[in-house]
Formats: sequence, C-alpha cells, structure tokens
Amino acid sequence: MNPVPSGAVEPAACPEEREPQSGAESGIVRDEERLSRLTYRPEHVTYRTDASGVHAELTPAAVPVADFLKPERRGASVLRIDGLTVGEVSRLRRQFGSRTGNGDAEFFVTGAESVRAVVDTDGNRVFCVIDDATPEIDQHALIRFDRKEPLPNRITARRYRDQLIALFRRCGEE
Amino acid sequence: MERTTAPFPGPRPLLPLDALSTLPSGLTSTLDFEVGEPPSGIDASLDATTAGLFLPSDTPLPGYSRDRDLGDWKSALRSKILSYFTLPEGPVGKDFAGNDILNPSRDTVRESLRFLDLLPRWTPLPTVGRADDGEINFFWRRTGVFIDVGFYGDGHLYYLARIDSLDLDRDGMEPIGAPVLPRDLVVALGAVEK
Repeated sequence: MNPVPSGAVEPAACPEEREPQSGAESGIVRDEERLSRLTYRPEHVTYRTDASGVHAELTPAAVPVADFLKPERRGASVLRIDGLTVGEVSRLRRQFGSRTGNGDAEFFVTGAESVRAVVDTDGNRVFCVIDDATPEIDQHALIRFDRKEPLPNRITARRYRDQLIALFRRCGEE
Repeated sequence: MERTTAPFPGPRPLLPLDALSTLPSGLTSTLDFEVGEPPSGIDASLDATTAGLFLPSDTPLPGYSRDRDLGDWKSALRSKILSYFTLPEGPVGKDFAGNDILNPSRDTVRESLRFLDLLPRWTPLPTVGRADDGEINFFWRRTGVFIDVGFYGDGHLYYLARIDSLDLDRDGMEPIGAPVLPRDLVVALGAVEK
C-alpha cells in the first residue's frame, strides 16, 4: 500500500493530507481508500437511465458549495468506509436517515485517488482529502479545496462541486 | 393544538397557476405579486398553497381550483418550495464535520419561485432540493446532459449547463430579477429529453 497520497500534480499541494490530523489509528487517507458520502434526503439522489440500466447519482444539493468556500465550514464530510464495521455502517445509516424520517441514509462511494485527481484548467489539484477522525467516528475525513487563498469564486466552486459529485456511485453499484 | 387562523389577506390578485401565457401586459411573472411571509405564530400544519398566500390548508381559496393544477409539475414544485417558508431560519443541526445545517433563507425561496415561474412550460421535470448550506438547487440529469441551477439568496441565479450533443459547456450567474433566463440555459434545457 502506498502510504503517501500520490495524486498530487503539485508536490507541495495539500500538506495537511500528508500528516495525520487526529490521534486516531487510521492515520492519513491513502489513495486506495474508498470514501463515502452519506445522503439522507431523497432529493439528493437522482436516477439516470441508459442502455446498461438505471444509475443512482448524487445531485448537486448533496454537497454544499459553502463547505469549500466559507471559512467557518470545515469541508465536505466523508467516511472512510473501508475502516467501518458492518455494525457501524448500519448505525450511521439509521442515525443519519432518522433526521428526516425518510428511512435509512444511503452511502455513495468513490476513491480517494479519484478525488485527488481532479485538477483545474492549469493542471493544479482542486481537492485535498484529510484525516479528520472525531470522537464519534474515527473513520471520518474531509474533502477541502487544496488552498485557502485565493479561493475560487462561487461559479467556479460550483463547477468543482459538480465534478466531485460525478465521481460518486451508490454503494454496491461502483 | 389550536390552529392559528391567518387573517385573509383581502382582495389581492389571484392568478390561476397556468396563467403565464395570458398575463396582463407589463407583467412577466405571477411573482410580480409580492410573496408574503407566513404570519407569525403559524406552524408547519399550515399549507402554503399559492404564491403570496399562507392560509390554513382547509381554507377555500376564491378563484383557485386545485383540480385545475393536478398533474402540473410546476404547481407541485411550487408547493414544495413554498413549504420551505415554514422551515426555521438559522442553524438547525450539524453534520459529521461540525458544519451547520442551514435551511434556505426567505430570499433564497423567493428567488427559486421566481425562477420556477420563468421556466418554460415545456421544460422537463427537474430534481429540486436544498443543500445543507441553504442553497435551493434545480438539477436536470440525463446521459450527456448535466444542468445545475442554484440560488443562495444573493439576488443571482448560478448555473452550469453541459450538453454533450451540442458541445455546450457553460457556467455563469445572472441577476434573478432579469425578465428572461440566460440564453445558454434555455438552449440547454431545450436539449433535455422529457
């Protein structure tokens, strides 16, 4: 396993993702790890049909743009699903889904390497994937923009957000 | 619980919701009529039934027939968006990262209703949802089609439209007060299969 994220086009990009940001055993997020975004509103999922069948996809509303732009927000929350037990997955589905009474939450999955491979028009990385273990969830991570200044404007940030959601597939349909 | 009865707002214009094609000259949208705030003390048991009116759900509306709009997706979406007026403002919780979960602001709801009114009737049904930062989002997705329109209460419409068959990939923002939609967006919507 590669201990260091290799998706960086710029060697100096995302220094936070090269060091554990919490004291949890899980440590830094490796490229080969799968990340999961939990959705708890039906309107955050849409269905696209093509010749190969019906595909569940995230809608843009599933990932707030402000998570990347506002200094008071820490980034987009994801779970390091490979480190979760079946019991933890079930608990989080129920806990998160109960917020709206619409049933269990759903997991949408992508690879950390795919997120790190998103680049801007100059070939610079857009997103970092950072260890963010919390007391409640030690398999928690954040997706952030790779730099705080200058931040892209909202139009560009929305475009990056839309690139990000396109990477996710419903768990089991990857 | 005793139901709060909102005072009837009196004689104000009540347009049938399919009246866009017959609006009086100079009027571009049903939302040229002010969208009212829900009166204080009204709770979620009340139903926001049509633009500008917040009444108990069993209150008959003179000149308005629900039957007329059955099957009309714009009416259904209007009701859904109007229901956001009843949500509490400010943070309502936190996500796993500790970010505040915010409901759409009143201005965001108004902008979304304005956009809904401007959408041509031939537009295919979008997925409409709210993000946890308060955005209201309209989304059209097909194979080769990706149209994302968002509102944040800042007076602007933000869009990204990508249509592979037209080699179209545009984004931008426009004042939502403009009487027409951005041309690129209308072209993109016209390419979405029903």
